[in-house]
Amino acid sequence: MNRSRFALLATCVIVAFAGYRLGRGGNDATPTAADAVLFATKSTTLSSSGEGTDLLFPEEMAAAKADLRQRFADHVSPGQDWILRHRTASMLARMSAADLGRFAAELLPSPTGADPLAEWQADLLKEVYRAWAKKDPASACTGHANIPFTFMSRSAAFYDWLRRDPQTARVWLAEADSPQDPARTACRKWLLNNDAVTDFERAAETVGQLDVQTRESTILGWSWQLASDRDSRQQLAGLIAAQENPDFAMKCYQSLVAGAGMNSLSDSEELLENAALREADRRELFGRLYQNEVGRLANLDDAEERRARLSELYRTWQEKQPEEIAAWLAAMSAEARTHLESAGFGGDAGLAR
Amino acid sequence: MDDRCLLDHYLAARDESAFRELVGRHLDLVHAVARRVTGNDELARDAAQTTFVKLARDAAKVPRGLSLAAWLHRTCRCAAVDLVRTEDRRRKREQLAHQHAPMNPTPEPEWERLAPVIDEAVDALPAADRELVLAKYYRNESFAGIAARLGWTEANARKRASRSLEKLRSRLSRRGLTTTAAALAAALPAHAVPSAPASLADSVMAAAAKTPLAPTLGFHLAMTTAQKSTAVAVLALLAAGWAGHAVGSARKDRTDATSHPIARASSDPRDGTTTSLRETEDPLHAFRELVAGRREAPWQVVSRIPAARIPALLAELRESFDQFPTGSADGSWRMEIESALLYRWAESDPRAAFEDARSQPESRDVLFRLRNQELVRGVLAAWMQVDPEAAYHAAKGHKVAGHLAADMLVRTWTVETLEDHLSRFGDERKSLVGVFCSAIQSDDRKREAMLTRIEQEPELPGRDWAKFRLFRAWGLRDFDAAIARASAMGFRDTVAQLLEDNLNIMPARAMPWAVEHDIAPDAKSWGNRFDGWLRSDATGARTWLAGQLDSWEAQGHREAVAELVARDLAHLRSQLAPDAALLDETSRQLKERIARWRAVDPDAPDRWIAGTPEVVREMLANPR
Repeated sequence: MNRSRFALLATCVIVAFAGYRLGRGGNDATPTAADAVLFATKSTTLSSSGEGTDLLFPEEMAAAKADLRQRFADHVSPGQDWILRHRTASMLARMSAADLGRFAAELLPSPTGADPLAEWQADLLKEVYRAWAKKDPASACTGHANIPFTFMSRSAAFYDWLRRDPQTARVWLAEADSPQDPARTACRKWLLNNDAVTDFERAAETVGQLDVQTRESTILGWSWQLASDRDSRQQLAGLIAAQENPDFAMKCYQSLVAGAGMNSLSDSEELLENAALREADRRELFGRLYQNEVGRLANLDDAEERRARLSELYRTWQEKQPEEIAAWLAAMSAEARTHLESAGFGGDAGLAR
Repeated sequence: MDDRCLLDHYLAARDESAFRELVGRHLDLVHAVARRVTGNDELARDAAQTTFVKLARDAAKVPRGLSLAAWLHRTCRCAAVDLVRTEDRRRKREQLAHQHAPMNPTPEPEWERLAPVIDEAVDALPAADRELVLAKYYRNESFAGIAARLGWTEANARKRASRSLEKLRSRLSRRGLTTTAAALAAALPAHAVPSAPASLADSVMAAAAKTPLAPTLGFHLAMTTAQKSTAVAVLALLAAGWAGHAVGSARKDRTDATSHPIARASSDPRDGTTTSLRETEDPLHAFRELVAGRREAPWQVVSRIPAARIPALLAELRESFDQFPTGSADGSWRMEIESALLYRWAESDPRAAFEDARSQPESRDVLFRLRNQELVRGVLAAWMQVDPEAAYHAAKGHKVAGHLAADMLVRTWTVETLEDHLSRFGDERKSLVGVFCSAIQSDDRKREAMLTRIEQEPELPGRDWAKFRLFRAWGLRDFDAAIARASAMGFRDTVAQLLEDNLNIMPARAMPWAVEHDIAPDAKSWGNRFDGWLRSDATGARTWLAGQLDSWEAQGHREAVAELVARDLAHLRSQLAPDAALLDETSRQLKERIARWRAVDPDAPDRWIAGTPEVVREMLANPR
């Protein structure tokens, strides 16, 4: 290439660049520091996993944090906006683990503060913990655990870690010198809850090695968590019976029946029929079950269905527990009783006076 | 046929009639912009011609997310600026300026001031605002037409156009041009796009028709070698400048689009600025990798899935829920992906996505119920970004979705424009005022603005309801601040309401406040409330109660003393592993206090015992 052609080529490059600058920014107000960070051309290498990203410069950090706060605070529902979440993850991927820990602390009230977080703060905090867990999962899962309101964010971070790298997460929890701090105990509980729905036998074996109090509180939690699944319920019933503690069994079945939920009344009845309960407790729980069902059916929108199902429920309960139903109705105000009767409870004959 | 169809037609078949139609539609606008920037008829013709030549050549480069009017506006302005900046043109312009009368012989003073800068200000608006200003105030499109084209309600188009005009006014005022949005709304349609000269269309078409051809052969042959070299160099430099400018403008359009919530759908991984996902990768393959956990960042994958495929993918994903139950790490991950899919669907067809989310089967599984709610919330979040009122109207008939939508809708409002928003809601006004006040209570600035209005405007519509809802929501979040403020404002009924609410919900805060303000404990109602405190913080509740008992007893509130100690005892007994020493101490204390009570009023303790639940009576008969 001769010299004049080279000079022409070089001039073309310069002119093209000048044209680019004119087109790109000629009419714009100066972008803010945050814009520069959020829309940085460097971000062509960004990925939400945080791999291969450039960390923010210190002078960019404050602007980026302020911008994220603003975007979340101004949003009608930031935790559900996937575009915002994606961009936030990309931005947070450019912060170090230590920076993310500091950012989380800045979003939180003081350890003694009792003011709840605003919804947007909780949403942003969860994103920060998730980004933190990608860089330093152990720190994220236990970070700022002494401050209320980190529970949900820490559990999200732990579940992400458990999904991405279950082996390391389990090893970390099983470490011999693992301290028995409340944060790690919470992680152990989340792991057990995960195992209870994916591998009940493994979870039951682990829970059997815990001290009585922790074991019982964990099983009590499962009574709520597993109540809607038939197979899990049966396995859990076996575990409850194995504890050989009738008071504890009563508490568990209270949760199973009233707390989380069977998919049908007959499921609940079957569960109670076969439960390892004292007879008085069984009768009491049947009573509560029917009372709850009355409340649920009385709120049905379809008047015809409401009447039919309340009438059927009345017959079932009357047949099974005539004394209990009489006592329950007797304790009711006249107004409530009339209301119930008009909704169909008692059938065509109505309730006996 | 819309502009995009015509452009596609032109691109596909070099259809001259399609191009002519486009010129006919936009020539007035292009010429008007060129005329204002150059201040000269001749230069304006050149700029207009250059603009359409560029369109003929670069039709394929017009971004799909941008209207042709917006592209032409910016391209023409740049072309006109370039012309004016050319030195010899500038001199010519100066000479001509003295010879020619202004285009509008009697411009209105307002417009005379605005004309030289208006296009630059419009050009600097974010993309979505620029589109609206051009459509409504330059091209005089009806709100109904804009709404139909962009998939909004007419009211929403009207509101957004008003906001865009306000942004334009603000930009002008930063340049020292004080005007009002109303003045702009009147001046722009009247002056922004006068008719172009009748002959211009033909010359534009003639120039454009030549565009795809190589440089004129005759001209080429007639030149000397030296002239050719110079011409080639000049052309190369011009082409380089143009290309650079075009790339820069395109980037700017994309950046503008990303900065505006309306256009944010295109500011995500799909615009290629924040993703490492290869454009050519099969999005369905990427999706299956994502579900299997071999990929992170759901939106990076989901955002590239064609909307039409989403219902089938949702069904496929949901089938796996049995295998990966709620409460497991893998189950949570699948629900995240489901939420991203619904959001993606809501971007293109919010009604269908809403219907899908709303009609998910009910479940008594608490986690599943939460998931159902989150799906509805996600769809509404996407819809609210584009048309909050349409989203609200679609959801309002449904119990949970209606509450969520109302809450989201009012978060798009401000205190200052409250009446304006409410005026469109007829019978729902009162309820929406309440939702608005509940929503803003956590925002210090908005809450203070609303309190000022409540205090200073007795005629404010729904004032009492607004006050009630604002203080109730604020009190549940920050009881001390809310009740202090209600007291300071002299709202006695509000103070009583706040106390009542919080005795039920946050007894740990309300009970101490009541005692500090000499409010006597009511045995019956405080018993249940104290139960709530014991359940949430037994140690705190017990410690506080211990500090009250003697003074209450001295003041004669003996029934309350017995009631609350009995509740404490019942709570202790309900524990899985009760503290035996504490149980003994509390039983002893209850017996002693009842004995002292009996000494001053022999019948009262028995009346109290008779009214207590059976479990308490049994406990009093046998405290251990």
